[in-house]
Amino acid sequence: MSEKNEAVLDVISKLAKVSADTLKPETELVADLGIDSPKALQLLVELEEALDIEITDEEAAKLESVGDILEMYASK
Amino acid sequence: MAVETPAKESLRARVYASLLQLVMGALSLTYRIESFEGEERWKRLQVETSPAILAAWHNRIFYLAMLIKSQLLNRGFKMAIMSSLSDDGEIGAAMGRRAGLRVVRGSPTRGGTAGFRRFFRIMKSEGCSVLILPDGSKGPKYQAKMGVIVLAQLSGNPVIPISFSADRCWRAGSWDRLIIPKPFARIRIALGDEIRVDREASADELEYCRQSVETSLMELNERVKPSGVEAEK
Repeated sequence: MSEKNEAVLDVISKLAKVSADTLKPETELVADLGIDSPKALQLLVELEEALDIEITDEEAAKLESVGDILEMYASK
Repeated sequence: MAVETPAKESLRARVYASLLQLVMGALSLTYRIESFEGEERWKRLQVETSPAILAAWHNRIFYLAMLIKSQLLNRGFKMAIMSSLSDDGEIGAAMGRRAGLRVVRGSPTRGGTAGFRRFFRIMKSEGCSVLILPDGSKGPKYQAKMGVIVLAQLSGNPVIPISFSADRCWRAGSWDRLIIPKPFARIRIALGDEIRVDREASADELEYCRQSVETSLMELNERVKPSGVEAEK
């Protein structure tokens, strides 16, 4: 797994309190990880800080799964 | 989606906001502050470099907006508020802008995450304080949502609860029973202790903080209520 992907999964796993090994691209943020609106805010802020990127509101609105986040980060 | 400044306010919003601004301006001239618990800390907000998260119940917004405008915004203090994406929210947004507030559009149910992100960015990059109504935009009344706590957690800035009462007031028929002090009302204001949220707080600790905000705001309601009036529920 690339370092970039590891960094993303690290942030998600810490927030969702699950092992990074259990995260798959199809893992859904709300349905599988229980990331509600307050946690979504925290996730976006922590992704931006950890990865040193800016996630636009339009990009954020499309993030529904782990795979979406990985794709978004890969495009940066 | 969080919209900060729309290209154009609707005619309805402009008319209502202008009328309400006139009414509020006239009423505010007649109010008298009878007591202000925590006034020194309130005044320090103007000069402190790190922003604060003021938290008040939704039904307190009418008078508090006037207080913030006259005592803080008119002295260079920067503050932002969230207004819902509804048509009524557009009126609130128009009024907020006329009062000198930065307005972020969104609500816990629509565009909320984006709205709170905008709050976070405004606080971090511009040192702008924010006013959050934890039971907004549609209640349940007096139940604080988690957004204010997460914002405090991520920004590192404290939540400062605030409430007021008026010895004479109208109560709107809205979900929150909005409080509109009557002309020549005597106002009692109280600031609560700061509530800080650790960045690494656990889910239980976040919930504890949320309950602390809720409890503090209810205690403030009790402290400022006119004598002989029953505690609100």
